[in-house]
Amino acid sequence: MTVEGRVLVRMKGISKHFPGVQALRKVDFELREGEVHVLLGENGAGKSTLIKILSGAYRRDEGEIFINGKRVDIENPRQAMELGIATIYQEFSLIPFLTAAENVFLGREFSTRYGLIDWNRMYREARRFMDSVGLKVSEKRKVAQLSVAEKQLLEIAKALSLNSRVIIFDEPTATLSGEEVKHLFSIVRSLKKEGRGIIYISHRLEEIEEVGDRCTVLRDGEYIGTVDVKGVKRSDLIEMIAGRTVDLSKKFIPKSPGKVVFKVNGLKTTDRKVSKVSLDVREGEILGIAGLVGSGRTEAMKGVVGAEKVIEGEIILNDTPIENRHPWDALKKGIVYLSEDRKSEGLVLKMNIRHNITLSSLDAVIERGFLSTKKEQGVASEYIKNLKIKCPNDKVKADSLSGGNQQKVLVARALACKSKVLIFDEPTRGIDVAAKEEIYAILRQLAEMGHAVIMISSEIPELLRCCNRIAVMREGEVVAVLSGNEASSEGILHYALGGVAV
Amino acid sequence: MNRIVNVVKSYGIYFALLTLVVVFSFASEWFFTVDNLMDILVQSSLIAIAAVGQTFVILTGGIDLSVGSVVAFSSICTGMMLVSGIPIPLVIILGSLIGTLYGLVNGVLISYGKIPAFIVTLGAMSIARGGALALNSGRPISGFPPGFEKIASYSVGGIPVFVFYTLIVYVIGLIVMYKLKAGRYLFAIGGNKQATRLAGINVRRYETFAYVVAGLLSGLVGVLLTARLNYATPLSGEGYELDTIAAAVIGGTSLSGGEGGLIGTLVGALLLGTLKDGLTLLNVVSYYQEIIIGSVIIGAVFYERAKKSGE
Amino acid sequence: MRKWVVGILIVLIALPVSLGLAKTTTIGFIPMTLSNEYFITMVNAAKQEAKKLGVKLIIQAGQRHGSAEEQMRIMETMIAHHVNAICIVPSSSQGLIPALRKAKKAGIPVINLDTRFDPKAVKAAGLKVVPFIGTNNYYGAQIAGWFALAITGAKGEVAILTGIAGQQNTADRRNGFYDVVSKASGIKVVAEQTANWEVEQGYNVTQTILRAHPNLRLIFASNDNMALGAIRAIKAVKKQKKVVVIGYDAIPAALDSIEAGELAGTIAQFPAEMGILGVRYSVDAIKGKKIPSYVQTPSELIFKYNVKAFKKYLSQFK
Repeated sequence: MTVEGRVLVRMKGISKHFPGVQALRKVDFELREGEVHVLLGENGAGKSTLIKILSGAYRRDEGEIFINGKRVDIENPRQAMELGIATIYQEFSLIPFLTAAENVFLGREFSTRYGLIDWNRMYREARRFMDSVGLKVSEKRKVAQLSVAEKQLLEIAKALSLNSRVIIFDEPTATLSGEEVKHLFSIVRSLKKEGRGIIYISHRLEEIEEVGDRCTVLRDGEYIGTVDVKGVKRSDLIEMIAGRTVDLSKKFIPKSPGKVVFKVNGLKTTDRKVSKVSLDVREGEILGIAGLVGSGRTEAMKGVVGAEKVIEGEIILNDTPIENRHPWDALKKGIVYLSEDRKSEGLVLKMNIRHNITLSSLDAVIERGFLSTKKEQGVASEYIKNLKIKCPNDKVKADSLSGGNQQKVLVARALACKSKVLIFDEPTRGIDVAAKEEIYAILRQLAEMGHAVIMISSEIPELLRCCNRIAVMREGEVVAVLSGNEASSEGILHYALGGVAV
Repeated sequence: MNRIVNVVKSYGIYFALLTLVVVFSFASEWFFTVDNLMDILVQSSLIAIAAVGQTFVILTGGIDLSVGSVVAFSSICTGMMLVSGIPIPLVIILGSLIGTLYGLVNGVLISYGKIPAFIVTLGAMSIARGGALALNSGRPISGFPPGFEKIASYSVGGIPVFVFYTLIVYVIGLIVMYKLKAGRYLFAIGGNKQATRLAGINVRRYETFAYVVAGLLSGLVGVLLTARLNYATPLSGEGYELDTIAAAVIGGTSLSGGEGGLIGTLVGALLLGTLKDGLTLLNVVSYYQEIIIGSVIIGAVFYERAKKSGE
Repeated sequence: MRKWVVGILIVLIALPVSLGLAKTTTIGFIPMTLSNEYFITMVNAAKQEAKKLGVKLIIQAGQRHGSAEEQMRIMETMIAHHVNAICIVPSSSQGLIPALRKAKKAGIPVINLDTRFDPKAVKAAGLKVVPFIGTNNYYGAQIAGWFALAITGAKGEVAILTGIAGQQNTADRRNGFYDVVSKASGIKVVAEQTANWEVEQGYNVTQTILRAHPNLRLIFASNDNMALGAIRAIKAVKKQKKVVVIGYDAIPAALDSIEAGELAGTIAQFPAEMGILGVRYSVDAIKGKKIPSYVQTPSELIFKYNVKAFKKYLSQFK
């Protein structure tokens, strides 16, 4: 479908320079009424910079911006808001201790004749906008009590209340479950019908085919091209993004796993998010864990390493029952968990790459009682080379790396402490297509080196491409372990949703 | 020109200290003399030593407001022990241990009890000060054995012994910070506590460690201060908590934790000492001294911020 | 745990009630702090006098040296509990006027010790003159000034260590001394620096002043703490023979120092007298007797010839 609407936004020859990087180089972009325009590119390609310029968070160095055909200078977020541009970031800009209604009208409270806040009107109006995005919770509820999906809908309601004509979504589905994604897409379609223009950033190609109309690809800050989503082949898109071809059907399932080395029986945690988890992993195997967000996958694995309190169940490593009361107990026994949330639970962003890699294994780089810089350097450079971590040197801070490379640093840390069991929670979240393939290859390599690998993922295709077996969780329990022909999208969804026909 | 700007930028605090020394040298003929420079070193040394502990604590993302009061508490205990005839070497050890105990309690309450550092050390500040007053009913103590003041007044080849104490504490501090696991973990905890925990590090133990070091050094400073004055008063050490925080912050340690270092803290302490000495030499009225010192602290933090956003 | 809390609450409630119900004559006594020997002496003397007269004394002080706010709170509590009279050393000569008004309303006489309520402010607030017992710091500092002239032969360089800026005592002591010595043409006041009443700061500031003024003859420290610090600094550069120090307050450590031949002299005030007279006049006021509105307790120079006798006098208030 080619959209023929009026042009809402036109950006021409936009450039932006940061110290050391040319983030954007003469990029063009156009958004029409009633279209969903997808912005594609690897991490660091310049997508975020481009939308931040449009939403007033950054100022451009060069180029022109036209809104409704009029040339404008967007100097700050407030001005962007007034021009009808709203952005829904991954990290929401809501205030947790205010109510939903207060958040929607923050800074624009209605007042009564006496200059007091007109609460009745505020709640009424908030209700109206919340209804229009299908947000069912009370408008008087505190934002802190909302789920991620609900917060997102509230952000959309806020954008509608501002009467925004342009709505930017920054990876909106990264933290949503299947049902929630469906709902979001129906909202996006209705926004489209109302003639609004939508800029959509995502890494998931399936989603792009589902909701996108046109697609603009950036690579290394340069404009590569704009195509209609209908009729374009996935492989072509990937080639545009990565600059080379990527085979999406390639499998990464490790060959010939050995005996069972690690077992969990009837695990239950205090917060009841995990009620009965049993599974086993063989050496040389990748075990996948599927399930909806909130099914207890993360909590179960955190329980395994002692980061969540376990009240029942046993953990068996090499036929010996063990108890992990703290993550450092697990580490000593060779079990490592890598969080899905790299930034807040994985890396120490202010620390350099070298120190991030050796953090869990400092004992190995101690010489005569003192840390040996030489040994540390050796360890770091070994993993930087083996895992192909892209960085100028090992002294740069971890937060300067792209998502994929950050993930590799964490893998390096896990490997450096010679762990037997490696648990990866959403290892490819927020990582671009090409880097994902590299992570898959690393996982396989790890398994084939004899590690037992567990991989939690919300993306069924990647589970199918990497795992020997897939455990499916629902409401705190492992309800099935699938392998061979049973392991299919339909099979996984069937168990994950609880027998509902898909 | 650009290169000069860059040099100034990356060595900002050293440059500031240098500028100060040059300005004061021109303003007062007495400033740039060996004797006066030694005075500055000695006057800065106690703050500098206590600031090592403060830096450790701030690196973990915490803060220790009890430094000054613990100095006073340790000082009064030192005085009482000396008067009661306990041998001097034992007094030095016990005085430091008393501070260590305070640090241990602080650390345990903060890391195991999960009470914010600000609250715990604010409480400890009040408790230690009250304790210092109560122990000897608010009276100062004097009349120590003659050997005691030697540990402060001694000098080696014209260099006051306090300079050596400071150097020793800093050398050990630097080794702990950069050559031992504990030091690395301080940075990690301050940078991201949750990630450090999941990386398999006993976060609580090392967080406590930082407060223990702070307590130990406060205790030691209490002993040294008593020797320097040959007099113990329950009111001593007032303002030490803020001076040590200022030294650390001027030296580039981030109050949010995870970034900074000891060399900066030492230079920060020297900067404060130089400023106080120079302004006194010039007989600047005390009101203006306070204004100038306050401005320097804010300026230093502002400069760090600017440097970071420029990166 | 809950029992605990209840227990504490009962004690907290019962304590003031029992104070309020006491039948004996009760005098509230509020020194500036209890972290200073000067006030401890005052309080001890007051205690002795109260015992002699058979009245009860409640002593409460603020934690911080200059906190008028804390004193205000203490005074209000005492008024609420109907003490019969209040003796106070105000940390602010103007800030506590509202509390005076409350006391007047409750019919509780107030005796002002040591640091005087600003008479103009009291008058402006529509209150009667508050009886005052205390020394004149300006006068005491003048004595220090005359002593300085005698020691130096009225010539040479002089430095002054002042107290916390903004306090009345700081200004009075500095001015009293300065006004005397500056009249001598041979004297030059070369430095004036605050050391905030503290020993360590007295040490550091003196050290620096000595560098800047190698020919310094005399230091006047506005309190003994700073004087003790100054002496340490002088000793460190072996200038004991050249530089003389005069202190103020006559605290025991300073007296020891005089005996040891280090400190040249100090100005004694008589806090014990203030404590004794404060209690005595309080009792008189409660009985409705007329009391004098201004009593000046003496200021006396203590130096090597009278230090022994003064120590003996002081020992009765330990």
